[in-house]
Amino acid sequence: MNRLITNILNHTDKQISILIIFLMTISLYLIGEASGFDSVFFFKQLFFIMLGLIVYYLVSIFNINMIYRYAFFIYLFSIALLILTLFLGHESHGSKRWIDLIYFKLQTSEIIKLTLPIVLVKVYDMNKKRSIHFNEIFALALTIIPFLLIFVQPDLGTSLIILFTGFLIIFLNGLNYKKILFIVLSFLIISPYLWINVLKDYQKSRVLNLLDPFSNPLEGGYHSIQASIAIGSGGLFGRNSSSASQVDLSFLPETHTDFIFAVLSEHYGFIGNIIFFTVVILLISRAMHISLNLHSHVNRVLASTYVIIFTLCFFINVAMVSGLIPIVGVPLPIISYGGSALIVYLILFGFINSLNNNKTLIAD
Amino acid sequence: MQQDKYLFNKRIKFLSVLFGLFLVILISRLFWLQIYKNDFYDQRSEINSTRIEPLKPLRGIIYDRNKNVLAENRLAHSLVINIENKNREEIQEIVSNLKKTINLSELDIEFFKKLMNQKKFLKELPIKANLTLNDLSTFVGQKYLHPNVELKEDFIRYYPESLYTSHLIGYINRISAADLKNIKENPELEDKYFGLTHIGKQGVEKSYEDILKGRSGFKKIRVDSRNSFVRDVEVKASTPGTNIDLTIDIILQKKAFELLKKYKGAIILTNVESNEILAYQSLPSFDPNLFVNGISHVNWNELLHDPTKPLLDRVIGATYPPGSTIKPFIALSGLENKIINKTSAINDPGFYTLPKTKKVFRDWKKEGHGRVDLITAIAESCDVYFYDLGFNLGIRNIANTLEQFNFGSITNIPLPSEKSGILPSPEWKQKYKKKKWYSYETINTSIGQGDFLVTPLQLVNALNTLLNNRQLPKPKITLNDDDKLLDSVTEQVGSSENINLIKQGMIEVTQENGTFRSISSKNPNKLAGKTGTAQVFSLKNQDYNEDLIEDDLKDHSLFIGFAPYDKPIISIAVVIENGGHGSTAAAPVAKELVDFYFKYSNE
Repeated sequence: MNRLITNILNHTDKQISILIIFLMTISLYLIGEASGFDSVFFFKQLFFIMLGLIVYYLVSIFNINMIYRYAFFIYLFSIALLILTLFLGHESHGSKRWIDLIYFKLQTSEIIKLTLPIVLVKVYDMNKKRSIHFNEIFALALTIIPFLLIFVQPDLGTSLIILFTGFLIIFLNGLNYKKILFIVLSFLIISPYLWINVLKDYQKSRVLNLLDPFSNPLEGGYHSIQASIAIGSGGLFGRNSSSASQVDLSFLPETHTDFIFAVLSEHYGFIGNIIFFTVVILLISRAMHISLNLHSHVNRVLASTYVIIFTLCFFINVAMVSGLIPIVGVPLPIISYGGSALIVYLILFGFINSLNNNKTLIAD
Repeated sequence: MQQDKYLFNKRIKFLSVLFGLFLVILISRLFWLQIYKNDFYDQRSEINSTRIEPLKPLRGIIYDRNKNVLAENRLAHSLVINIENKNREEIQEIVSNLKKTINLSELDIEFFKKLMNQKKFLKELPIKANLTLNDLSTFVGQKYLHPNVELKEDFIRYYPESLYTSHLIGYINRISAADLKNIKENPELEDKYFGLTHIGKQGVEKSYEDILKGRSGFKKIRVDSRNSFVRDVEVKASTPGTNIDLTIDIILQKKAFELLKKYKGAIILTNVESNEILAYQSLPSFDPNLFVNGISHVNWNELLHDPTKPLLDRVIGATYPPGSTIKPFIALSGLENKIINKTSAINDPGFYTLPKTKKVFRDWKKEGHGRVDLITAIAESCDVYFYDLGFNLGIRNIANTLEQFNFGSITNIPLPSEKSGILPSPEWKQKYKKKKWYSYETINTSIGQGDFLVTPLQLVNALNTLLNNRQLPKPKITLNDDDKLLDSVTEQVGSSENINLIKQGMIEVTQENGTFRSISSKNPNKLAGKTGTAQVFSLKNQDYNEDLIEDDLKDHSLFIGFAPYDKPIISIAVVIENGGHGSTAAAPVAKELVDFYFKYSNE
């Protein structure tokens, strides 16, 4: 037993582990507050946390450098899962995002979030001798495939994160500014086309509702308004359960998933949010610190991409719940209810531990 | 490699700055929502989650002077339909389903639709109020067929004496769109009517609405997003309305009803000294209970178009020429203005010629009364005596005296829609008819004809003024009103000597030579008074023959009286429409009620 504990301590970063466990405790507590401490969500999440911690430990002791060998295989496997989802997917709220594995539903887009960076850094590593253009186009192609597969589910939020992941790795590998400018400009040019032909009505209305949520209070704007009320009424110190209307009286639905930040805000106020932000930022900076001090460029890019994706998801969720951006369905990392996402994030931090544990002797 | 790392570090730095900026934006946003706009969102949250449910007060009970209930609140059962989360078609189906079990009137359905169209976010709507016992047992037996219909208990207004008190008590009805508009225009009223569904529409129910209605309490409850009850936040009990004790006596009221039943007309019996009304009856009558939850079109049209006008309150809402009942007051005017005295007499040949003209006015007694002094003139109702007196007084003196007795203006009885009648004078004629006053009109006025119109209440009020020899405050209908005003008015209307002379004349009316001599030998309660016959239709150069005249053109029969005449306790006014002579219709009715009063009060 002692040996196990020592092993765990040796293979995981103490700060990261503590902060993650702290965040998961917050998550469990907030899910309990939102759905009840006797609800199925609470116990399921408790189970996923336990499972996740085991996975986190196993991934941490595993040498991730081996994984590069199977990068393409893993990528193809992830794509296959996404295709499978399109055909066999479990449908909920009008979109097919899950594969039903009887015991739990696997959100396959979470897996590609983890595996896409691996294959992309592999591409750059493999083809160091080739022209940079080749790598960029190759990486872009590998990104577009899962992007489209997720986009048609439809899951705008996750698909954009996948697209962003691809661009991020290309960017970190030295995409020059001319190309960046070109991409930005071409996006601006085709965006009216996207608005008219690609975005679905409900997605458009989400964007419009953001501009003026009170114009449509009972339809699309409802979530936005109720979330703002939840956050706003939290005030500095938050409200106790007996006077918190939004969460406890379920004016804001689905609080245990995407809108869990509203629970935190309503119950613990601005102070609670600041404490929460501090914990998250400590976690991010510690993980970033580790990533930047890895010895190989490939690993640095991989680890920092993970950290940035984590950060981005965090920001997107908070911005969405507080009404700064349209509602795109991105959960709050580690905090929101959802087994697939939690385990993926724990694997992600496990990878960072693993990379940290297996630093090459010679730094490049 | 080094270059890779250099570039990578630069880009990480760039992203760090970018993300730092995002972080600042997010925290600012949270600051904005949670600190700066906190009050606003607090309010929104409160609005979201609290509902205020009114707690209806019980309306004040109306009693007669002996605490017999005249208006009360009865527990009744009603059916409501649960409309939560249901669309129009579903609701319509529930209603048509319910129709198979319970008889729903058009009115019920109409009212239900009206409520449904108001689109308030209510959970349930009333479909049928005041279930009959039959409906109730039918529904309870088949309740399982109607899962969306619920049985509720509610209080509804009930008038146990129904027809006997309808005009005095009036009725309440649901607050109408017009009432609502009125209420909404006045913020104070809006507050007072919070949670109330009914409003006094007629009679005491209307004039005492303010104290009868009481005040709603409320229950502030916390609800969740499905509008379901979570818990009470604050409860404030309702304040019931004030009970009212009326001055009328239901026994006398019923007796008056019985006496007047076969006629159209009005009776008011009052206490002389206090000007309290003991019986207030207008016939034909109606059932006020029909109105309480909205009257059906059929019933309403029937009442509205009934030629006998049952909805008309003939005590204060109808005006009649006073006829000879005005003569005592004209006589007092003559005495006060020293035109006549106790002994001055005239010779009545049966007609009167207006001086300086050839206009002839006939006495009701063709052959004339012969030599007539003041007492005889009142007792026998000699027209010629009053033609002469009226002519000598002049219209101004007459009007001044009659104004003292409140003719031509409302008595201010605390009831709605009182009519003022008409006290004709040159000024009045100029104002309303834009014509000059002629002296023959003075002659007409002095026998209570022409344009002269009074309400039965004005007659009895004037009589009480005469008997008390002072101007009176408004007639009293409740025992709760304070009496201070009664004592503060002391101005005399005539010298007591003159008043006694007039009384003497009225006493003679029920003696051997009077117009109501038929009771002279059997008048144990010492009723005195004055008969009157008011022409509805003037016949030119034609003898008035009752048998040849259609019913609704027959004269109105009037009587004012008091008893006992040596120490008046009660006074009475009776008007019977198209009843013929005062002595044949109105006076006997008055006599019977007065006799009944003394018999009953001595028991």
